[in-house]
Amino acid sequence: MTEPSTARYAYCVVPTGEAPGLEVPAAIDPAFGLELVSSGELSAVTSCVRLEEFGTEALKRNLEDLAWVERVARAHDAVVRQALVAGAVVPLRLCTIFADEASVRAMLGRERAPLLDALRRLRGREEWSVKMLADPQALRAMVRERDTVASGAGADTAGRAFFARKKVERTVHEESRALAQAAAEDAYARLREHAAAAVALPPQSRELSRRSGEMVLNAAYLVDRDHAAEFAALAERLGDRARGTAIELELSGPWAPYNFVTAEEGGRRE
Amino acid sequence: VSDYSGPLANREVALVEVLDRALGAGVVITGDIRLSLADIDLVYLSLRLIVGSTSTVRGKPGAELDAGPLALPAPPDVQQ
Repeated sequence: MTEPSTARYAYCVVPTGEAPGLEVPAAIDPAFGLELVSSGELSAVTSCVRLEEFGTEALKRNLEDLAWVERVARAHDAVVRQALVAGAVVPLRLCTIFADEASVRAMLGRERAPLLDALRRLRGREEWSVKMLADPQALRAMVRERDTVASGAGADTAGRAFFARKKVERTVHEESRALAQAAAEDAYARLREHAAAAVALPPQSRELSRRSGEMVLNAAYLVDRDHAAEFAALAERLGDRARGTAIELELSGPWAPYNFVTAEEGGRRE
Repeated sequence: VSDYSGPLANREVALVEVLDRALGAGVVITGDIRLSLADIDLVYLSLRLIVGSTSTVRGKPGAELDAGPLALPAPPDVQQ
């Protein structure tokens, strides 16, 4: 007997009747093809991966390598995305790996009820991302212009003028913050009305997102596919309006519903 | 909006978008390769460190608008 050299990487779970095509995209390890592992009405989209790359120790090492993570994450998402096009899909967390086909099948049996429940809830729906990025300088400039109080006039000594200016700047800062927050909350709520579910995620940091503005909203919405156009149109309108207040709105999607799997399944639904 | 032209910027869908979902969300089912959620969180954390992030706070909308250079202790009140 020889030690196994491969394991099963699972990308997502789909209803057996709505399984996506498996010819494309490429699996994470392109030496292997995508394969469906089914247990009754549930199927997992899987592929083989080599233990020398995905075994526990190798995995820990590789997950510290950003280029490796990028390649795997993009391949993972491409497969999940294809499943989304084919029908309902429950995306699994990156690097969900089983010993073999039988172990995947056992998981499908064990998690049957919550998986079926999630698929029912997610059917015909997709995730959309809405981010709002404020330009703090421009926002403050706007508030300053708006508030005549920002002149600092009336101070009769240099010291007093200094503190008056400080105070005004603090007010300007608070007001611009409030303005951005109100815009973000308003947009979040209005879009929420056109979505089946919504969640406000932590803002991505400037360093990580490589963006110039301050992220004041990082929301994910679960949207009925039939209402996606409407949702996007509303986002665009809100974006046009926000631009007048130095806030940029970004819409991206559709995504597989990564952020809308239930709490016990590891999600963070609202 | 992006003002960054480094390796992470504007590559198809931004990597951060993909990672936020594939690594930060999605169903967690324990597989046979024991990579605990804590490991994933650590990985995620170190990824954030790799790219220089400090933010781990989950906020409400608008919660993280730049505190900026003005978030200093209030100057003494000179009115008195």
